[in-house]
Amino acid sequence: MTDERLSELLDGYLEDRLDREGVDELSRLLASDAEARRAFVRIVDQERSLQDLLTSVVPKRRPAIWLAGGAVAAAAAIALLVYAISDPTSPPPSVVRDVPAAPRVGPAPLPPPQPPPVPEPKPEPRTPEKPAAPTPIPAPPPPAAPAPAKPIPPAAEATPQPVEAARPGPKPERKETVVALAKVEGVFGQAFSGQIPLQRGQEIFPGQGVETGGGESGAIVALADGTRLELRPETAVNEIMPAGARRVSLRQGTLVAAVPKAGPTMTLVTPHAEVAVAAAARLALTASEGTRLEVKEGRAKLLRVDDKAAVEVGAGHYAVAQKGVPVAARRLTRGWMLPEPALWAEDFQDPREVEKDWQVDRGGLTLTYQGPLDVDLRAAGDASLSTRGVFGAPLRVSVDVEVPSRLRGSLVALRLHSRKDGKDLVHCDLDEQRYYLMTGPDQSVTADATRRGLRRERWSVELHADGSIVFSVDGKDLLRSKRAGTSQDLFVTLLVKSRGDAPAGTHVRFDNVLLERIVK
Amino acid sequence: MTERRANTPSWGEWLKMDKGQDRSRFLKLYLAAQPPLRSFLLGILRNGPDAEDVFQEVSLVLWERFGDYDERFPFLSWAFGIARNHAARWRRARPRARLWLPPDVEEKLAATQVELEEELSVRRQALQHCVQKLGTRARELITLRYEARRSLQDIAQAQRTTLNAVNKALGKIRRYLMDCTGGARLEGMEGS
Repeated sequence: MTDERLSELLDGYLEDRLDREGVDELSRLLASDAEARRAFVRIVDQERSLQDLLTSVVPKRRPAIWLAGGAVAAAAAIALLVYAISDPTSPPPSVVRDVPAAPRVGPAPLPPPQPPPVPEPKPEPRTPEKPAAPTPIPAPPPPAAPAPAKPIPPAAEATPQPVEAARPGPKPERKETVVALAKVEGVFGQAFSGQIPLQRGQEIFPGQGVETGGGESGAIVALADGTRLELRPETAVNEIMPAGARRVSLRQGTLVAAVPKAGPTMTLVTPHAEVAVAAAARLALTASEGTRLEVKEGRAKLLRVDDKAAVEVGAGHYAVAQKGVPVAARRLTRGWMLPEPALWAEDFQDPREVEKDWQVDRGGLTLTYQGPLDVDLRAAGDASLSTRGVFGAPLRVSVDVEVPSRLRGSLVALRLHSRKDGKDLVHCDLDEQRYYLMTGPDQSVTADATRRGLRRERWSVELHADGSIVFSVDGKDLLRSKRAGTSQDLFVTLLVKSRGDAPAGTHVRFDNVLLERIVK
Repeated sequence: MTERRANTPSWGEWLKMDKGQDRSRFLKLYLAAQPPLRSFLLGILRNGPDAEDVFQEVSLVLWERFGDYDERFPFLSWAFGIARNHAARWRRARPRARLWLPPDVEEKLAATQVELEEELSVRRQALQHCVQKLGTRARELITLRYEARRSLQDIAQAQRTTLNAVNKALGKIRRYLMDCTGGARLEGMEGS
């Protein structure tokens, strides 16, 4: 086997022009000859490096949530991340960093090698019997869309602009200035930028995107202008402030934004809508089949992209941009974006939302949550719904409770637990005869449940900063107690226990849960 | 919202939960392994976009299974094992797509890639400079081939020459660049 033949085989293999015999011949050679294998590995590595060097992005992308970026961009992003890891005290987003221009492949080039004489390939002329029509060279295709993770602009030297072959030595390295526009303040579970797992303290550069995984994943990103973005699970932000514009592009998921009054209007873009925030505001934007804007503080303008229908949405209201749904502001009755002092609310109108925010345990009972939360007492069991979110005292929890004429053999309860240690902190219970307020193993106070017949009442329990606890029914203080200290990781449980001997058609219902901060 | 995260562990706790140290270690190893891994996949799959697709899958698996990695063995060998499995799976899904090298050859090529990695790393660093040394026509040719991603047929048509001529010219350029980067490698060895 001559070197020339090996070269022919390798070229043919790289250009995918070998037939079966050619591939078999190459395979035999590679199997038996270590030097041929080395030649193969070298030429393939060079081929791949050339592709990297002469292209800015890998042309084909996968839609996978953490693999949206190309490998070249990923390499740059990894380099950046490694830099960030090595510098945990990296400066705030507004800091300007000098990034040396580097080739896209590997670290800075070595000193100039001494190459053999430069060949000038001389293409063989066409044979006379095949005169070539003077086909104009079509313009090269436009460059592929920029990768989401592309923190460091490629060095100009990497593009093969015409360069005089006789130019001695490498050009001196040029410094490029890259301004970080945002910084990652927190990462929960899985969060990525391009292919790279996100790290706290990592800087985000113009045009770079951020994505979060499922479950409890999330990320908090602080922009240079003071805006804070919280990405909820399964959220993808395409790019943050591209080219310095005060603009964030949300592809899917939920983004909670706290926008300060600073500079020009902040624009949040989704596939269905544009949201303009001119002054300080706190809002949530969800993009799925449509776009839903909820405003907790301030105001924002929602514009439906399709028909330019627009609406101003104020605090405590929401609007939806979706085909067939009127663009109008409506009052919020559930969720996290009710105005202060509300923290969170539930109206049990949308089962999908209920399941997002509550841990449902049917416990052998039949329960539904489209309309009020309804529990059928005919079977025996314990059913409960517990909030997935947690809250800190001082806190007031209120809920409408509808109970049948006699709670025979059943118990209805509103309870608060500490997520950290799993302990029950507060029990507000009602059985056939009495209300109970329990704040510890030996701390229980009771009151007679004197009313008879089907009743609907509003329960409230207040946990104050000094540890005092008040259980009220329909606005009247019923029971008081006190416990040492308060907790900051409380979740709420609505519980029904049934012995199963209630008459048919006996139900307990809960509705309009509201959690509020207690303001003095 | 912060109230929702009221029980969020401190960053230090998150680091432990997320194996933050592993993450940092992974990134260092992954960064070093990326070029050879991508070259290996290109070598056995031949098509750049296909190789990149498989590489992305492999990256995800490396990250997910990093806990299984036994540090007594080279990371690159472990990564190549996973890459070979994924490449095989990819090919099984496309049985008639291309003519493939046999598995035993793949295994030997993986070993060779590991063996040559140090040399290849030096060559990669020198490549850019060597490309700059190319003449105008050679640069035009590789720009059409690698940057514009034209087929050989397109290039031949654009340059009013034959397919065979383009192929030979590209072969010459490859050989030149190989010699050029090899020169850099020798320099590096002498200097060390």
